[in-house]
Amino acid sequence: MGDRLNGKVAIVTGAGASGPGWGNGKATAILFAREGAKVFGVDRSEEAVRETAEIAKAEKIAFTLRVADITEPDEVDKLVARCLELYGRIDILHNNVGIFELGSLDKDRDYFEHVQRVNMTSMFLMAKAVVPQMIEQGDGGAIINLASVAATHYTGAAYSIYATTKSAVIGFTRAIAMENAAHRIRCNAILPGVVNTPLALEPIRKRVGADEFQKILGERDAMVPIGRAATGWDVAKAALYLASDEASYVTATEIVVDGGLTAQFG
Amino acid sequence: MATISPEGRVVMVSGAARGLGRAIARRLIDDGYSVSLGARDIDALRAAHEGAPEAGRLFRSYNAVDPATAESWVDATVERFGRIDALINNAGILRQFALEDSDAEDKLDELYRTNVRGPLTLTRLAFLHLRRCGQGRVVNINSLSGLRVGRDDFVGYSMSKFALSALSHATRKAGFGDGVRTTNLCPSLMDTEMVEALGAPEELKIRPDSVADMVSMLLALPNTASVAELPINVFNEPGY
Repeated sequence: MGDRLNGKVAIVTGAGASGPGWGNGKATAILFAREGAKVFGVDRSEEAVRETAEIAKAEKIAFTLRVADITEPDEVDKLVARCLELYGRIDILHNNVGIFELGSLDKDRDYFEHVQRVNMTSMFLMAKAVVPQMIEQGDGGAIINLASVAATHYTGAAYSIYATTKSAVIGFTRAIAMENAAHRIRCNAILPGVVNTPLALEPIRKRVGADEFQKILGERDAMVPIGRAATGWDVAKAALYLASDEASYVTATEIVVDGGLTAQFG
Repeated sequence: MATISPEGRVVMVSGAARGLGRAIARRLIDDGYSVSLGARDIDALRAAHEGAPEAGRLFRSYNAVDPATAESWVDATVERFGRIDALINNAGILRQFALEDSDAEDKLDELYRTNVRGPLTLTRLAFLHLRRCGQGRVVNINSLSGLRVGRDDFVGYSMSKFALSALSHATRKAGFGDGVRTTNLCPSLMDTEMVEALGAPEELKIRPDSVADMVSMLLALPNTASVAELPINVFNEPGY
């Protein structure tokens, strides 16, 4: 138990993992709560977010769950109102929700718009609902948006649609940061590389046999200069820094958490 | 030791400005507990406890119908004392209506907001701290109306108090593994401001000090003696 976020109220979207193990959002929600934040964890899956809540309960750390589809403005407004009713304020918005989808010009318009909606519209709606509250509180705030190295680099997989949404996250992050800098509301993005989360691994595990899966895990580790793929905790620790007062002078920028992956590409 | 010492233990009491809440708070101060007292009228709250030793006391504005005040009160308690060992959910209101009254639903909503949602929110927010201390206590000040339906005009009051009974037992189950012991405390008619309007003679009402003594005992009992429910009579009623 630490105290780096003592007294702060944090909304974490996508706070449940999409499969067994630790996703970025689940690890971040638990880490924030371990550091003293009151975490309002949101997920579209009750089962997923309840599992996070059970972990928090066992650790005796503060976590409240909320089931919502944050691509719907009404649901976003309601969850923010509920968080305020409970905790009276919001200090941290961790926009973690996102889906990883392969696919490019082979996909249709509906698919393109679906990925935009989940990965980008959700962040827009959350920020739209939370920033006015942070301004009213008058003592700043921290917003963290999950982007990806796919926003800046082509890593060999065909995912132009996913890359588009994540590039948009960077532009959105800088714009929100600058528009609200005078209110001391900081907004930053995290760009993870190869991360072994349930979101990334479960589709592979379902597709291939156990031996093949182990081989792929080995390949994922070998891709990264530092010698291993990231875990949700690597991303969560970067988020903790950005959320804390230690980062009070850091805004409108990105932290790349990729073990050196993209530096290889220059 | 057969009982837990009050020393270093922090107790929250809601509705501590008058009636039973005031009596409980005074008794716990005398026992040597640190108390965090909440009530709608902060001035009345301070006035009610004037002269008591300054150390180990916190007064906060708390309105059962406003969850944000519950949060700020719990926060302030933890900030001041660093812990919460017991919660006395005492704040409650009385509204009377009979089954055929036209204002039944409105009065029921009002009763639920204070008598049911109020304790639910406080319990939920304090629960983490109660579990952390390993011997947390929750005493829900209920009523015999939470166990049986008495007067014709107590329909809504009884409904709200039955719901509070459910909360008491749910809290007892949820916290038991972490040492939280919860009691559903159910007095009959009491000699307090709340029931003044009913006009019952004094000798037919329970004295608040008697109930405060019981709360004091419940907080002192060790984890190995859990009191799930405590009905307190003044009349000789069938069943109770």
